[in-house]
Amino acid sequence: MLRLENLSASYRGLKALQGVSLDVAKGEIVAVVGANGAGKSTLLKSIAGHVAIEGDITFDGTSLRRMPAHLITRLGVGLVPEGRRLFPRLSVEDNLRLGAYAKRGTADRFRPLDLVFSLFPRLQERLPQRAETLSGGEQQMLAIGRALMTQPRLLMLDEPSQGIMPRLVDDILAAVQKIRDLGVTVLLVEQRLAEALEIADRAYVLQTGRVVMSGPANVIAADASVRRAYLGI
Amino acid sequence: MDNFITRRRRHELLVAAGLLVFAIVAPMFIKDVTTLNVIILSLLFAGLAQAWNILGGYCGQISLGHALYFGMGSYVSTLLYVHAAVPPSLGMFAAAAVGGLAALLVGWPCFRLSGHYYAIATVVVGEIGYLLFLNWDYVGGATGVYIPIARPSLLNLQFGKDKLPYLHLVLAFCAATWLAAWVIEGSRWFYAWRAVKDDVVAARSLGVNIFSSKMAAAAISGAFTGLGGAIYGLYVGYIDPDSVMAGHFSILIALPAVLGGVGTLWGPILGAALLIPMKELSSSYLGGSGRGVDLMLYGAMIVIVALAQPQGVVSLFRRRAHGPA
Repeated sequence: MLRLENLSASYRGLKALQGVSLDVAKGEIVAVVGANGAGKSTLLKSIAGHVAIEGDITFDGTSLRRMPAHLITRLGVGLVPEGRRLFPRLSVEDNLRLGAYAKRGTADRFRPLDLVFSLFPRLQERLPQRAETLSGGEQQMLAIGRALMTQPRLLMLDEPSQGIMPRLVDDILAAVQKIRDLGVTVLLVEQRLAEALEIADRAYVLQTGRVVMSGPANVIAADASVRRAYLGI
Repeated sequence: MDNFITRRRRHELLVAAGLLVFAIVAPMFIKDVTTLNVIILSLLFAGLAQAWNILGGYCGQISLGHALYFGMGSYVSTLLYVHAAVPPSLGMFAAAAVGGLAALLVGWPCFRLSGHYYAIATVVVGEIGYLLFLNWDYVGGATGVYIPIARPSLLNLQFGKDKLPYLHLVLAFCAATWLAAWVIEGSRWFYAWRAVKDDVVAARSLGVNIFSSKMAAAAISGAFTGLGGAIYGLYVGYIDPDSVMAGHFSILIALPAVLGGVGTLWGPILGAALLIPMKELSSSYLGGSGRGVDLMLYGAMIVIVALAQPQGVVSLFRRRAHGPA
């Protein structure tokens, strides 16, 4: 579904990615893990069209290389950006409506609302509230919900566990699994290795802009060197 | 929730219609020319501020170069009349088209910049336009252009000494800008622009085309500003770069919206209703020696509003729109 070939990207003059190749098949959850500054976020931004790249990215056979970001979204690549990037002074409802902007003009643009509410019932309770009044976990739910409103075929999540109570991290990741079960392919970037590998099918380990290891999630999780480097065990 | 919004919007429309009827009828009983003049200018600047608000408020692109579109609008309709005998009633639509086009041309390079850098770029572009017109003989240069006095007629939009028709003309202009803003608030543009204003990264990942959103807002804003410029030229009967294109016009256009409430439906009107009478009164009371005092009063007022009511005067009149905050 998604294929990255020899992808390089520079960010403020620094090479953030150097020759990354990566595949995501339809229906998978693929995790990209690595330490701070390994290039995980840049990877997602490259796919979403937010940074200039070298190499090639194809999505369902279409090259995203020269495609502007808003068209990539409309093609079916959803991004839950790092730090959530909600519209803090807009209501929960308006944030979700904005998500449907990509599908504007189509009759079923609000169709994913039911799905969003079934995943995160709390959002429905908080519809008229300003986004900034939500707790960290609820904000993350809203960010995911908003991305789902774009009706993505591939959903990319950038550190969904960031700034969230540990108990809620499991809820969020369980929701990610449900999203996959509903037919949306998931590319997940996480610093919390153990949790990410638990729900992922396959994983890539990124280190200073290069893929240093890849394979089935359980193999990566069991690998001694990864455990030493990232789990501190 | 949807019902609430539709009800609120219908309510706004009703209030506007009521105000419009009042504004059509009430001035018929005013005979004092100075008062009528103040009302005309207030309505004009309410409309201009609303036009500015479409780009600066709803889309968040702070332009300090709107004098350019304003001036070009008044030049286009005036010169079409003087050189090509096109009646201003048609010429003002050409002025609107040129205003919108000019805003697109300015936006094309300037929207590559964001925030303060965009604002500064618009100041510079406005100054360039001013200097260009000042030294361009075909458009009258520094001497300016007189609008030849014709027999009062609707076609020429000249009404002799009678102020009331002018008042109704600027009222129509003000109402049109308000209606445009109202329509925008109900459209998907409202959301896209809001996203562009609040967070470009988020907007992009929701499929909003940042550049074309800004361009659309600029075109609408510039077109209405050009239209307002044409009407202003007709009203004062004489234009030169200093009276329609000088940099302080850009401030004057933006100020009522900022004071009244940026990105709101009523803010620009409220701001103009406060600012323009004050400006006119202070400059007529203080006369020539008071030049600048009106601007000092402005400054003082803006400081007060910024300290006491940072969301603009309009926020005094409404409760928070969205839940507990």
